[in-house]
Amino acid sequence: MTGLFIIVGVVAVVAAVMMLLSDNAVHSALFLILNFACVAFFYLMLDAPFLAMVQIAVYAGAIMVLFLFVIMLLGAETAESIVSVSAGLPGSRRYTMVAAALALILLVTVGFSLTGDTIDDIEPAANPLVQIVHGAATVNRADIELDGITIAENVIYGDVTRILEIAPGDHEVTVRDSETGEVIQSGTLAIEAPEMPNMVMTVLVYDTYDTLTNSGEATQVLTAFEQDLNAPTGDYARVTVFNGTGQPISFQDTGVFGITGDTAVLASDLAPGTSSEALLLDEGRYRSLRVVRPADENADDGAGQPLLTIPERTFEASSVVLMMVNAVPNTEFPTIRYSVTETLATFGSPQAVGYRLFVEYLLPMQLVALVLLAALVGVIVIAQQQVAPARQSAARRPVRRRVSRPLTSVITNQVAADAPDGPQLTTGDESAGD
Amino acid sequence: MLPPSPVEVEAFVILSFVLFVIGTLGVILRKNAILVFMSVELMLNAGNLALVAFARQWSNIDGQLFVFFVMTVAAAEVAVGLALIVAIFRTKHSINIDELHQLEG
Repeated sequence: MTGLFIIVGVVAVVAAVMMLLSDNAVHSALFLILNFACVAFFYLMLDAPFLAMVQIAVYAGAIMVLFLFVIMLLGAETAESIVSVSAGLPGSRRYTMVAAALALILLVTVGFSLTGDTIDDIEPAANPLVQIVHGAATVNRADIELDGITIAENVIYGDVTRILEIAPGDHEVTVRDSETGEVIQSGTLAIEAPEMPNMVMTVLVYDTYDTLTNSGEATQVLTAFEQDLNAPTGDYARVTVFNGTGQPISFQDTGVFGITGDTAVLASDLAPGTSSEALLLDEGRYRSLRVVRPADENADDGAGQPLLTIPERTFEASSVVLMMVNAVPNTEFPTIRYSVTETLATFGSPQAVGYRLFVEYLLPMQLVALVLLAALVGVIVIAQQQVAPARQSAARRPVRRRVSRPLTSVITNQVAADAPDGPQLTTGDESAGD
Repeated sequence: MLPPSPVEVEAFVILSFVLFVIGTLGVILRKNAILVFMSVELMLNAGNLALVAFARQWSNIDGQLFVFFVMTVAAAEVAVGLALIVAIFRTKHSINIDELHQLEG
């Protein structure tokens, strides 16, 4: 990677210098395009793929084509050669000294700023991201409020709100039944900026019961845990298991054939109300996933009584899934509910740039659009001023044209033009045939 | 937060500094108005590169958005500037910036 950077960096600098030194302006423009392509490559290295494409399309495409067009139009390829710095205005030697001193100051400043404290030492403060999952089976539809503001209405069981960026600190989450409007559960959660990059705090409301056998009335509990919502690279799905039952559980994959030794324990001894680490599962169909008691977690298919054999499920690549193992009333055997959450946009991707652009920078973007509009009008005005004299001469031309020409001469000229081998008539009025 | 860049971000900043200086030299030394203009574009690009590098360093996408804005304004500026150059060429029959001194005090 470093070698690639050095090669492309050298190409970029050489292209810039050649642009500066070329006598032919067309060559300069072509070298500048090469330089822009190198810069686009650096954007890719710096995790800015969207900007790299914009750089190619706008700079190397539109802007440089405009430059080349104007150079060709004006015939300004070799308008000048470089003049030496010393030859010039009277007193330029003094200016050269001043310029050299300023350049030295700039070099020293940049050198100090680059060799001083590294910027790695400073930790940027990030706001926590939060999403709220409706995981209470006994509540059909729920309205979810965050700090008194309704952020989602009629959320069905298993669905999730969109990811919100909030200030760190205490936040009040209220879940209401959409039909009756009564508060199911309300609580204050301390939400801090996550330790790990781009982790999202998932707030979950789920049902709990009195005893292990889940008898009695369901009460809803709010809980929060960190979830990795970055889309996994490669053909993997990122799966998090949440234990919403009243007993510890384990999560195992008995393999395709359930052969001894083929069993993989994906999550071991999850306490009630906790979530597993994010599991990276190969994409594809799964028929062998089971929820078992922790004592049976190494048992193969058939041995031990699984709490739940998970029905066939397809996990898609690059998806993030929350698997909620929920309690069922009056039995110790749980049920499962999936919540497919949105994934975080990759840094520098069009989604990430567009989201930020429309959420945080809408007004600047509108202003830039106005600037573009003003530039458009300005260019039209400038072009109009140039066209004006040409239009006057075009208006004068019909006056000079011979109008009272005999029709026969027009016809004979036309015949002559259609059949070049025919008898050539007077060629003094060539435009008449057109 | 992103993992550290495989190439030091400082290297990109130094490179952008070098490109900026080359662009400045172009503005100072060249007499052809179109080449002066192209050198200004080079300077803008060097600034953009530094902005993207810092955005990467801070894992903050705002730097990339600023580059986006700079590109937009640069496109508008090029359109107007080249129209002006063409207009000046029509009247003065030259785009040598030493011959364009009507506004000289």
